[in-house]
Amino acid sequence: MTGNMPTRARASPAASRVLRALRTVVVYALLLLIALSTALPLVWMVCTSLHPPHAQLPTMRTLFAPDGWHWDNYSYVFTFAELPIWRFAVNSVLVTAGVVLLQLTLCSLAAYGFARLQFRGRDALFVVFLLTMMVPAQVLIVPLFALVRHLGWLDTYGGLIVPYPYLSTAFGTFLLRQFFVGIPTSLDDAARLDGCSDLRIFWHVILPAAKPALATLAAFAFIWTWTDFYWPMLATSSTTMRTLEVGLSVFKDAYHGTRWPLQMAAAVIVLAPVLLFFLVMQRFFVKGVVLSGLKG
Amino acid sequence: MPKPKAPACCYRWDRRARDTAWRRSVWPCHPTRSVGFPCRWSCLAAIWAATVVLFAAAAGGCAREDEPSTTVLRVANWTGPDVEPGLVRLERQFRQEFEAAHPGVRLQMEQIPGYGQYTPKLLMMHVAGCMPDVIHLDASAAAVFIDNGVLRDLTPLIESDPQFDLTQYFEPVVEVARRGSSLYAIPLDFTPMMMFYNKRLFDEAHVAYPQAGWTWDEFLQKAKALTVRPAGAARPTQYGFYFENWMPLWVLWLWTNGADVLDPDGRRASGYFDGPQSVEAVEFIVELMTKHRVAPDLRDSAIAGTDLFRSGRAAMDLKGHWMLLDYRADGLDVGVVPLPVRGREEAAERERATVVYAAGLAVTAASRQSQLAWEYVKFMTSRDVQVRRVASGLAISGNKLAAAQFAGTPIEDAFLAEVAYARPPWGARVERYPFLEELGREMMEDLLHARGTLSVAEALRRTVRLMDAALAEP
Repeated sequence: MTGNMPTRARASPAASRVLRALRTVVVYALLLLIALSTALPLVWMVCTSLHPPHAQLPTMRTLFAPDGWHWDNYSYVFTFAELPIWRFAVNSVLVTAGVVLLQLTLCSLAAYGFARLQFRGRDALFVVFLLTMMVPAQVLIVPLFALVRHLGWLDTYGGLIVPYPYLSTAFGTFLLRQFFVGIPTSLDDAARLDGCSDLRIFWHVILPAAKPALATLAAFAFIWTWTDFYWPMLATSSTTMRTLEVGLSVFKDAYHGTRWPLQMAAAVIVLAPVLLFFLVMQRFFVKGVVLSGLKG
Repeated sequence: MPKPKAPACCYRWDRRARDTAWRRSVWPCHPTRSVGFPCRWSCLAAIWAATVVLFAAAAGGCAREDEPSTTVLRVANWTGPDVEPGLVRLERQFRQEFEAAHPGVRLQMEQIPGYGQYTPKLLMMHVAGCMPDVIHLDASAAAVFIDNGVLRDLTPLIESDPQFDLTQYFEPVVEVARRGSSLYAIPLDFTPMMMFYNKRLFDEAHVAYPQAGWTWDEFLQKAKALTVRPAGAARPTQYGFYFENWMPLWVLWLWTNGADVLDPDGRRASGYFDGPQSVEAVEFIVELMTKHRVAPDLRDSAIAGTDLFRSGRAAMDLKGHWMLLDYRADGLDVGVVPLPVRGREEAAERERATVVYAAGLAVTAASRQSQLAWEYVKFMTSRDVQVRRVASGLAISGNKLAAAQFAGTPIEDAFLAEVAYARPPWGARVERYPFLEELGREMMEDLLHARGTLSVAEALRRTVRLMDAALAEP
């Protein structure tokens, strides 16, 4: 191990300092470039949303120099009578909250079972459960749609909320199980000695210890549900039941895809909560990637 | 030195103690609270109860508040409330008028948003058994509905209705939804594809406006004269023609050369899409970009990032009637002519062709109130409603009487004159055609990227093999 040391030691301290500084500059320059290229579409969206309503799609040259900054585009979108954007927002919040609650309940219970309870065929069952992650949601959509229709839930909140966990429970269970496995079993044993049942251990020992993982799952569930277009598009047919994502598409169709500034204003309104949420919950997303080895 | 005691209002005041106190106050089953009974179910039960209440409230909350005797007529469409407040008011007015004329009926408009989602969602609704009563039918994707028994044959309804006269609709548009003696939709509105030109750019370049019956050669000459490329510039600042790689548009160059994509029965592409006239037409299109440089290629368009015709940087564009709304909003002074023909002396008239992209209203086979649905179709396609509906200029009414009211302007007359040469798109007859169009788009992309290194004949042969395989699939 120490054989390489003399070579390093021979480099003068000044030279190594310059090298280190150079490396830092290069790394920062690269990171800055990546950050800029990632942020550019967002900047473009926000700037375009402030152009005059009838303006054409801006080029990079005209992006920052429109004919006046039109903040009134936002009030136009908010007050466009045929598209009740506030109603869409309420729907989005209700649906997302419902899905997150349901996801957390179902996934944490299932994960506890897979991580802590001993029963025959547990691991095999877990593998089978994970295999459902391999089935693309599109394959399940038709039977799911038929099911929801037979329940009479089309165009209701029930129809918007309940099918989500059906489509993505495996990921959440996997994520939480990985975390639960890492919690020392001695805690369970101690609780059991004190007379706790399984559910009480789950509630008082595992869940409090797993708050970061639960927050991570909640963050993922929030983003997936909030930004999903396909299922809300299928499950709703009346304007009053649309979520923001679908409403945005209605808005786009209404403009024949040409009034870019107004469309971008609507897009900013839809995206703003997600961006804010991401900024607040960023560390949980990073934790989620580390925990599951999967990107959201 | 002893640690000074923090004031109670300080955030860093013993947090653990504060948390515990809070928990004790609001959380009766917290382990730190010594209660004598286990309440392990209570919290979970509370969450589930909340969830169930949420669903119940939600499901019940959006139940329709109709009178028991109200009949709901569901109508699916792909367009939403339009930007023109006038149009929004009109749509509402039509709905009210229909409901007033049919007491006890409520119209429920179901808009399906999202590009390309209309057909899949309707098919899913068909499978799940919750199809609307009336659907808007797009000509370019009509076959999938007609050939799969989704729609009701309207012939019996037409024959038993003495008030209805099918001859008042444009025949090429009616033909879109015809199968033998059966008819599956009544035309709402339509547009033939036409060549738009920017009058200002023509005037500036002192080029004469094109006239009906012009040829490919004339088109190329004009396009060259209208292309402006400053010395030393990497790409032109103004193009003669704006090309978009969208097969529903460029297939017309094949038609005006006497070629076609499929055989007359729509069963195979070989011998047609790879025939000599098809090769000639596709070569002509590709050379506009690769050889003559009178139209932006894919890279030029991507760099421009905008509709070059609308921004006044291309002099000609192949589009439908709906673009007039945008051109008017942009203050663009445009003229309209039919597509140029190949210009062979012996067959000039035969080559004059365009496509009719249309929207119709169809009654679904699953509808339990077909008579009422038919009444709605008749109402919406009637002259009175159509005259008010197409006044915005979005499309041409499928009803001849309504369309005639707007005749008299050069642009409308040019469109109406072209109806006689218009044919239904293949998508109205061949279920797989939208997929074939995707193959065509990919082929054009390959040809433009290859910049002359891939022969057009070879690309067409390759695509035809894929098309035939797609058509042969059961």
